[in-house]
Amino acid sequence: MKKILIVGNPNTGKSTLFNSLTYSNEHVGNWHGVTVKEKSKIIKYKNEEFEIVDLPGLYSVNCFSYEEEVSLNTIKANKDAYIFYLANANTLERNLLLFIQLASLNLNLKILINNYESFEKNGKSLDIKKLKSFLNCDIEIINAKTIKLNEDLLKFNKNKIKNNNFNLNCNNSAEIYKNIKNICSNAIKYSKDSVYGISKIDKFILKPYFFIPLFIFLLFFCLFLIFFLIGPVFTDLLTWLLNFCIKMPIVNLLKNINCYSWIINIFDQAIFATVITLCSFVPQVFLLYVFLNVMEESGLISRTAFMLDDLLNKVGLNGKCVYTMLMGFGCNTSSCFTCNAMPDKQSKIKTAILTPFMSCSAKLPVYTVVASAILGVNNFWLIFSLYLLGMVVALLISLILEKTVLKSKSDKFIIEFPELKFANINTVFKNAFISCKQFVAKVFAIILSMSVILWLLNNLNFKFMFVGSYSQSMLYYISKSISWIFKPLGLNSAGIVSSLLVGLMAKELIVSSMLIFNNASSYQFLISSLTISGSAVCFTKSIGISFLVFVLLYAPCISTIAVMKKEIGLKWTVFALILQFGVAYLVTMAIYSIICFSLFKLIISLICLFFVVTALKLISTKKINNNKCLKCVNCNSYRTI
Amino acid sequence: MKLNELICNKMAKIVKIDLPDLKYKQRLEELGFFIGNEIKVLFFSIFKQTLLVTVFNNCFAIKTNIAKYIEVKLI
Repeated sequence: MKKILIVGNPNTGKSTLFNSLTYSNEHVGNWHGVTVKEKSKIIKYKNEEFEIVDLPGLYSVNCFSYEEEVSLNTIKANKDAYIFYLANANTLERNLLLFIQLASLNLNLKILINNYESFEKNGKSLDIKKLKSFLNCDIEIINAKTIKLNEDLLKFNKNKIKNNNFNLNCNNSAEIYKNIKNICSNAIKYSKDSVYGISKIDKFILKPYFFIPLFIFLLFFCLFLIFFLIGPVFTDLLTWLLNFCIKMPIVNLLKNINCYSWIINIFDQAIFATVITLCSFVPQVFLLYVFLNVMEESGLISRTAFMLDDLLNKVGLNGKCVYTMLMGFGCNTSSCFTCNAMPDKQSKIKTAILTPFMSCSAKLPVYTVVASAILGVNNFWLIFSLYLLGMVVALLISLILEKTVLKSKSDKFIIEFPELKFANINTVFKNAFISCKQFVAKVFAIILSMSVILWLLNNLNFKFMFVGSYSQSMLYYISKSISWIFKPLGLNSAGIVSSLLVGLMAKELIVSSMLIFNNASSYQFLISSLTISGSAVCFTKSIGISFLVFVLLYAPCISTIAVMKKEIGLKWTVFALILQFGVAYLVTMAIYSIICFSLFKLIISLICLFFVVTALKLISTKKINNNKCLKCVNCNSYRTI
Repeated sequence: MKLNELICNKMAKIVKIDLPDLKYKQRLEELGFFIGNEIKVLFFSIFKQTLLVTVFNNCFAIKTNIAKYIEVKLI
């Protein structure tokens, strides 16, 4: 089987090419470093099998980050493989540096030039023949979005570049660039002067006092659409449709054939209620992903990273974390993977710890259900405040970490600006559709099975006998035994504690558990049952707000925890979990005490916060002392770790 | 003149890169920040700690604490 590696600088369209060649749906975006790990797929072409490998982007063979090392190691380990060297026509000069470095490794290279249309639009033209003769290498102009594997693409000549125009032993990139400049001055014709990456619109939006309000407005507008204007209409419609077309016929059928009542109950309350309620949020999740993909695809994320870098530096973060944080609004698990793009270990750990404070799409149904129950239709401001609160808390925690245990190294922020363009509707909708598919798959795969287990725990006692009510079930007794912990937050009802516990598995399970505990068979019944005193899960306005704040800030789901462990190690993951629980507890207690006008609780939470910060400060001082150079007296230098 | 002192939209030439971190200096060179190359500052961020520059027909956002090691001469 022949291996084909897709190699190139970041953001040249490698994943797009991979998707086109392998008919895959891997995530693509207009941001450098979307791909952080290699991906491969085997495809058949004319009875021959090819393994196509998509590698993270790299600027040069002198690796600077983890993902660059991944790419280079794969290239070196597969010297016989065909290499599609993907270059962006707009940045061809810079792209050729890596090509020349790779050519010195004597690889089977072929240059594929992408984005030629926008190159021509910028008033440039390329003489392929001249470039071919200079580089002595196969060159093809392609459109990464539409190309399929074909005969011409697979024609490779062993590269003979070392006999040609370059001094390949030259490690000095300035020298290589001089050669490249000579080549390109002959091969590229410029009819007008333009800079790739900057457009006329940038001159308006990249004003500091314009961009930040614009960003907040965009976020507000998107959430307004999701939670108030469009989302609820589609949610209600979908709930009605699913109830009418799927749930009612099957439940009626089970009743007609005189099925056991507990089986009907499992189908009615655990399976259909959960699946239909969560699936009815698909339109809202879809809109959320459309917003995130528009931000990513249009190049706005790079602009946001640039504009917010100064502010983020003040709290010890890096502008590059904007991408991870924004993706966290979609899914914390997948966004944690992108922490690898951070320039240093401290920033990576900090970003991974803070990402779960972003409200992911799984929290969206919880917010909608509880906020609708306690505030009715005027719930938008509460939900918007929760999104803002998550960001504010993340910034404050970052500041505390920066001053204590996770001081960033000197900041070396550098990002390449991609082109600002209208987001491609196809790509945006395709990405959003894939994300929604994953959401629905999760509902069916994990949430559904967990709901059945939850239903059993809710209906069985410790002797595994069926009991009539929640107050006699084993889950009730387990939750009741630890509910005192949540009393200062107003969340001491066993039902609420159970929901929070199961939310550790996946946040979608919180809504699912509420449905089961309150014996609600649909989304509408659940909302009305949540304010009826005597229900297993019951909220007043203050308790509801307290619950939502706690759900926003406490530990992420188990899959995010697993990714965090993989990316930042066990020690920092445990630290992150303790921190998230602590922060959730203290902030919720402070907010609950403000709502209930309890000065005593507010003072207690502030004192606790003071003790936590002091403890972290002590730990960091101890750590610094341990790292001090002991060889000489009065030496202020530190051992490098 | 340091790069961070350059006025927006004025074209200059890189004359010296004095970055103490050699690995980082090499990365900058690989991105097109090498002596003799033309450079232009396009925008500054809110507190002027980050600047957007164009070099080699590409755009990069870099920190002032890096830009101050890059010496330029107005063309």
